[in-house]
Amino acid sequence: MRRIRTFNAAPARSASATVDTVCEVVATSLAAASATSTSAVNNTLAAARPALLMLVSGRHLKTNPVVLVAGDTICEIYCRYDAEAVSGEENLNAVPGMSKADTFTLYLPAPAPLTSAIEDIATSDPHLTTDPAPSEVKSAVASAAAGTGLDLDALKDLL
Amino acid sequence: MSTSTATSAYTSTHTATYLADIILGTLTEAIGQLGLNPSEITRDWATSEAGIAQWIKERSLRQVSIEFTLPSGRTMVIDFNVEYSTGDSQTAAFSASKARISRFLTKYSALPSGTTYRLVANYNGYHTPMPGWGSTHAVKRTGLQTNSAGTLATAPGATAQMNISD
Repeated sequence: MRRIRTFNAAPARSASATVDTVCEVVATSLAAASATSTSAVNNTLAAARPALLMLVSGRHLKTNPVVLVAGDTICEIYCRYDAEAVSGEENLNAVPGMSKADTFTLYLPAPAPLTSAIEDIATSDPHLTTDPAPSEVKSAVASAAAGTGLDLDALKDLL
Repeated sequence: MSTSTATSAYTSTHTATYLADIILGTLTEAIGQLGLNPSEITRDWATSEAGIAQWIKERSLRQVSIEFTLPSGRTMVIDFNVEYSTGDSQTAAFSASKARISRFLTKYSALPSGTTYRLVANYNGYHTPMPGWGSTHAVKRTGLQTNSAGTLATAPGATAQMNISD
């Protein structure tokens, strides 16, 4: 299941308030997954905070999302800026579909010139990575292939 | 938690939040562009953000600078100058020149390992004391050449411009 959440950043919220809001929604969403540790989630979000501050204030999340993957749910996290952020509608409810997750990963974009700094942050926690986030299509194809014996390489040639 | 729709009346808080956010975001990227780790900025983010936003809101902030000191003793300074305007601030737009500023920053090559940096604010007269900020003297700029990157961001009632002196 693919979800998208877009948060109102500056001027509606400061970077730190935006990061607080993102972290709150992520934590609330993962709280539904009884198999994931609350302390692990909190540790991951604390580790990710400096990267999130840089990404939010650098306006990278306008087009290049942070991606939360938990179970079969993929949630892309964007921000909107400028006048659009003042009037933008946002959904701050928990992201549904994560209750069966037994682990989670937060995929951080690492654009230049912040690449090195964000990669350093990502290595500090096992639930953070700067690897490319999986897409719903890949997940669905892989899942289908596992169940049916499809030849993935042959399928890619057709796409 | 709920679904909400914000109103669209712009306030001095919007302007202060916007410019503080763009100044901090840009100086963080400048530090990265210069090959240094911006962890000192992210560590003190809340203090820096609160101070800059408060002083823009009360129109006391004249300039935020990040001063780099190289191991050789040479200095480099990036200034963010804030100018205030009067009139109908409700009709002005929020705009940022991120792409142009990013291109400007690529002209500068990495600073050597061991370079240190600090954030310094200058004011127009009285300013509210903010936690985590102390008094200091700005670095001497004798012999430094200044290049203007132009307007960094515009918000209702205020504009931020960026210069690099090295």
